[in-house]
Amino acid sequence: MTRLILNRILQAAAVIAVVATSVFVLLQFAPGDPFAASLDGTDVPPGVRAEWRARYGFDLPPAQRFTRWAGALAHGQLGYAPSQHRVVSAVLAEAMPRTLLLIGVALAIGFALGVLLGLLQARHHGRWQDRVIGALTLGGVAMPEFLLGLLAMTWLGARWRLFPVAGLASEGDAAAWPMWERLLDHLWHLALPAGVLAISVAARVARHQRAALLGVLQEDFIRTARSKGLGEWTTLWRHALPNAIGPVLALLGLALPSLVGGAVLIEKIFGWPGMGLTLFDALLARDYPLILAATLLATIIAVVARALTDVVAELVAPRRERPV
Amino acid sequence: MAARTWNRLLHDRPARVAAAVLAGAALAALLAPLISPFDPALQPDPVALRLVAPSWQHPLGTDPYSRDVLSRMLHGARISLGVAAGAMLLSATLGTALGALAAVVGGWADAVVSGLVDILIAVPRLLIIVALVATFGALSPWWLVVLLGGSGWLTTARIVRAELRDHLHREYVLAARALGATDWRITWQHLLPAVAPQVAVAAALALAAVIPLEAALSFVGLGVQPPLASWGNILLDGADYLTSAWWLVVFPVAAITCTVGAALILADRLRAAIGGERAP
Repeated sequence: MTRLILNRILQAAAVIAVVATSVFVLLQFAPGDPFAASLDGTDVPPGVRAEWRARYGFDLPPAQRFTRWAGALAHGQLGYAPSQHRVVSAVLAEAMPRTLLLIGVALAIGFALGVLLGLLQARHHGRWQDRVIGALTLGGVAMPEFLLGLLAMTWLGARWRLFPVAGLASEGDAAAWPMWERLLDHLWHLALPAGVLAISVAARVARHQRAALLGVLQEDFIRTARSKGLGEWTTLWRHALPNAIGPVLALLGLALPSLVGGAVLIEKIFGWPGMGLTLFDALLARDYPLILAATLLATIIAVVARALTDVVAELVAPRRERPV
Repeated sequence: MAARTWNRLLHDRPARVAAAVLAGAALAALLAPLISPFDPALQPDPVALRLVAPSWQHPLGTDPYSRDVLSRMLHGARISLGVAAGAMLLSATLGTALGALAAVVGGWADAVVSGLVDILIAVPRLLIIVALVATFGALSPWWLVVLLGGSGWLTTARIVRAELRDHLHREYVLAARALGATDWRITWQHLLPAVAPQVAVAAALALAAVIPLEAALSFVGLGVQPPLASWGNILLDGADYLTSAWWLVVFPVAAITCTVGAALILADRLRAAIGGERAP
């Protein structure tokens, strides 16, 4: 157990180091530095340009800039974002909790729903319930999150106006509403983006859950449980599920990086002002420090979440062999 | 052994339907220049023919630039499926080669390949490609193939490595070795044909992963650039007209979902066919 945790921490650190270094190398290729837009006009005296560049170390050779950059990164300083007129860390500190909220809610609902659907399928294996849920979950896996998001946006948002089409909360006098109304308003804005992501998660989880349960149901201790006279649901819930949930968690961990990628697109579609939307705004503004910092941070979230899932999978079901 | 797996797959109805869907999509892509009713880039009348709903003249409607959506879907299939197929071939080749290297050579090669897989598999592909494209500017479809294929070999390598390590200790390999066959010959003549079904599963899954990635990149304007059509950038053209032009969303979504679903079913059934072979 301790070995697994240490292993996962080292692995996560290696991933972050590799991605951080690649991000720095990319920054070197990016045309212009953060001051190019404001200082490289013909009417700016050369001394002023040189002074600002020297103050932030842009006149140093690449090796020294790298150590400087890595040192600043270790202190959580990610540079200056010209498009937002703020430091990158301030921009991301505002955006990250919103992304974590979106992904967290989607994961929690999606996982619970997926396990439930998988249980239903295993309970009614081979019958119409199994087939209907199977077709739905296949559709849910086959349709990428952002396409489901576009469909939801088109009908539930733009056409029928059941849900808001952008933002964290309603504009205007909403700030003066009572506390619980503001909370409901937030939930109403969160419903579509989180719901779409949750459906994608649920479809993936259900497919794995069904397969894992059907595997476990072949085993002898299940026959023992049934011959004791336990009901089918009790057998599933008390005996099969605990033995089938570990592999499902591990596979969910494998799917997390693509979930983070999907969340970025979902934010763009639903105007949810988290890291994804920040990233795309930065892309439009060609704000390289912000683009690369947002990429780095999103990667770190994916890596840490994956490491955590692996550890949780080990805690939940320590005996099973897992494909990692 | 592998031959029986292929045979079992050939007689599996869902697998045949899925293969037919993929073959149909590929055929439509190949024949696009012959069967498209219009030139996909032509803007015949951006005022009168703008955002025309599906009709006999334009079965899938027109886009904001008056271009025929059916023609763009067919030509877009060439790009979207071409990029996906190219990336799939690249990742299957890379994954098989590196997985075999890790399993057969072992030692340092195994350490390097496995370490690389463990690191890269935790990184969201979409984000890395977005950062690359943002820095270097828009890419040609060929570069998309390289980026998507070059980042998609991890699962294939992992599967091939695990399968080959299992096969290395089987009697037929020991027999071949006793007869004096080299590692190279054993790998090429015996091991790779034996794991071909598993490679095909990984390739089908790679295809199912790459089609949405290309669509996503083109949808945010970082993938296939206009006037070239792809399923993703037809969606991008429609994103501003969600309330008025449903056909710009529904048809690309349906095309992407059907091809991805077919690839997933094929991978599923193939896996079942392999499993059936192992059962006593």
